[in-house]
Amino acid sequence: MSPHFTRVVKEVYGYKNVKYMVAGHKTWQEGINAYYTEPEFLKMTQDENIAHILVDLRSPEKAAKEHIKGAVNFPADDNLVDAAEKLSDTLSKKQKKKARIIYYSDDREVAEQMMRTMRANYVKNGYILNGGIKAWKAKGYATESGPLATKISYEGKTTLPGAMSIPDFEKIARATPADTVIVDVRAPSEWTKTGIVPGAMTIPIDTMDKRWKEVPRDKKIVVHCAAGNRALQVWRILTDEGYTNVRWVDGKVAKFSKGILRKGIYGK
Amino acid sequence: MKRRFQKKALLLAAAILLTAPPAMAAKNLVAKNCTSCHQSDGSTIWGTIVPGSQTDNTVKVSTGSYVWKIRYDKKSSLDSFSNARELRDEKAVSVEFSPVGNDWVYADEMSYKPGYHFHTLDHFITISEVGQALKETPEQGHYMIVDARGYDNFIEGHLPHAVNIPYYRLEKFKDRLPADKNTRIMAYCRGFT
Repeated sequence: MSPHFTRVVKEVYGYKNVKYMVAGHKTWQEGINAYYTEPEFLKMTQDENIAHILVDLRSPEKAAKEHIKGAVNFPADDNLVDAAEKLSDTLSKKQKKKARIIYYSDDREVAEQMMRTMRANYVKNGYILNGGIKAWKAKGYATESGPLATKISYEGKTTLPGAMSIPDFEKIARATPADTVIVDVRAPSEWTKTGIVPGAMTIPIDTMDKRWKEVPRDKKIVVHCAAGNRALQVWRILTDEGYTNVRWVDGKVAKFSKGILRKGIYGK
Repeated sequence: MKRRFQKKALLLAAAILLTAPPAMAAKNLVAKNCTSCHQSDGSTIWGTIVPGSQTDNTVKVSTGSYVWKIRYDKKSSLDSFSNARELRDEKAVSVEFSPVGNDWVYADEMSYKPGYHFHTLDHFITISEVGQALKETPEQGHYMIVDARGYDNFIEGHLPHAVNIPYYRLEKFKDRLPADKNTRIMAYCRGFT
């Protein structure tokens, strides 16, 4: 992704000083560096009931006056280490390993410090709400007042909207109904090696920007790639362009059962 | 003697140029990007695959100002592929052709340019260099940090001050690039998978 981006920005758009970080965002995160999430994502987790833990780091007075729905309060302005210890004590083992924990504060520094302290000592995931409650309100999202939740609840789905599991996909792949179209967004260099689902359309994600119009509007669409990430991006493109019946396969091609992919055939 | 021969040759060349159909001149054979290494020999096209044009017996190749419609079949000699669908959109190809009809040409030989490697040290930046740069705001440090992943990856989590420009929608979001072409741009994505 970023090598491609760097090359095009350099060669086509004429920027002179372009480089890319080879290690990627995952290694950045593992180095316990600041990592931000957008208000849009928090809103999505609320709307779609995706499990997350929201922590308000401001003083109890400020939090009671105005906070984001579902937040728990761990004031960290005065004693950050103490707050981190208290928060860690209330989390279960599973939550420490898996939960998406999102922090917000008025002070960027406090939020960063808290996230990094938690990640260094107690938990695996941590995100800072970019811009805090101000940015949340600027997007037009609602806030609440009154007492905050005292117990941490971590319930809801772990899958993202539009996701389809591998077993569900296999049923469709084995006998594709007439009203369904499978779209394979891998590059030709990948599917010539593994094979494709018979009858699938092949549109590589690189040129999806130009070719999304080829996807029929009146059919149910199932998008798949090699691991799930590119399918999610194409799901986003198609839903942005007004397609209503799109699902993406959240899983690896390598986990497909035998006989689903066939070599030596070409897509529609 | 010599001078007369030169004159003759010049006249001959002029006659060939004049009698050549004017339509052929407008049909560009070599794309701009290919001209640094390849020159037209009159029967070879150097261009890129038009996205979505690949079928079992036809393919379109663009040379910038002209789109060539190409037919091929089992008799065409294809270099290390058997069907044009195996070629990525916008892949650089060369086609040795013979004309058939007005619009179409037939591919006698077709081959593609193997991908060249962009992974060289002068394009790399390390995490610690990025971390150092991010201590300042983009305005202070005169830099831009770009998240080249998709929208959904970006909103879930990204580096501080990052701007989202998905690599496959660069054309749509090119306005997000800085006005000054000398701005330091640092891009990142998932990293090695």
